[in-house]
Amino acid sequence: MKKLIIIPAFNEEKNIDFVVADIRQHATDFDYVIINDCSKDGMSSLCFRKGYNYVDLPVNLGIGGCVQAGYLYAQQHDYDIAVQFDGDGQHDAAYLNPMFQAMMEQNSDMIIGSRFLQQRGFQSSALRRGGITSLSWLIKILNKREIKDVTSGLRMVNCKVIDDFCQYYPPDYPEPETVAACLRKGYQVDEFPVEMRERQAGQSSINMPRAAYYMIKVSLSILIDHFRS
Amino acid sequence: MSLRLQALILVICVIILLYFVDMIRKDKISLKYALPWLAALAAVMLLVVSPQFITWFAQLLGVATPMNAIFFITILMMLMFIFLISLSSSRNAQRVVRLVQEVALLKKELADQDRNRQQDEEYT
Repeated sequence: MKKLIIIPAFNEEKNIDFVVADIRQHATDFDYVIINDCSKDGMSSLCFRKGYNYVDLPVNLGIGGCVQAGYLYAQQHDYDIAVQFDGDGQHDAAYLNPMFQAMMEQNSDMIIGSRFLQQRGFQSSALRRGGITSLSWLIKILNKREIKDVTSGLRMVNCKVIDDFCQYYPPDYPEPETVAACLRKGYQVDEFPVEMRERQAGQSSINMPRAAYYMIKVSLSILIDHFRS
Repeated sequence: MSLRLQALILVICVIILLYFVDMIRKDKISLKYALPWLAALAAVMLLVVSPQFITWFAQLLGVATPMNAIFFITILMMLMFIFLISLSSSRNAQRVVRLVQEVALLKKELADQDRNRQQDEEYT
């Protein structure tokens, strides 16, 4: 089985070495591709110098278009499994193999690395957890399935879901909406307990002033998704 | 409306009309997007030539002041134009995303092929 790690990265020059080393050490039977979303730092030249496997987007697309480029890469290279893995060092590559095992055992179409199944490691701030809980609750009401960590960026999918994501992937704040869409389409979505680290360097893309906008937009997108056929 | 004012507005309209035709001729704006503007221009010219038309139109709508009928119609049309622009802008954004992704993946493919060829040459 061909397995691909998709690493969306924007201005992660300081973190990417760590991430790739982690993958090379702990997830040896996975291939990886870095999708450089037109970073303004030295990402591109760093990847070239180190000989990393990377794709340079000529225009900044934001997280949705960036990740979708990764899924397109997976589709074009006939990968059976693709897993999204943050470029900022939050995720731990040691979980990828256990996640894959669990996915095979449970026959999942999508498996999400969840911070909240066993409450260990970096848990995010109370406010954010509150936001995540309410999104999780909204998805549960609409799709009758509880997914605790709907905003997790660590998700592994099979080729059916890869094809779907190539067709349509939300342009911004995609995580909760894609979980809802997968449940609506009848895919089996499971969670796998993981610990996450606090990001190694740099800034998260969601700051406080944007939080309200985030909640409104994501809730709406989940609602709208429910009325797609 | 004085004859002088009518003439002035008509002249301005004709100048704008000529400008639009020139833009279309030079392919700076496609006919499809120019059409609503040409229609608006035609409407203005019609109203200037026969202002009594708007009085008739206001009565038809049940608007007491003819001026308000003009405002109403103008705002409605502007909102429609803006909505159509939002629509085409969303569609363009989606198209650009897919194009950027395809270009990026093609460039990657080319770079990989180049590297493989170089490695092959080093062996032979």
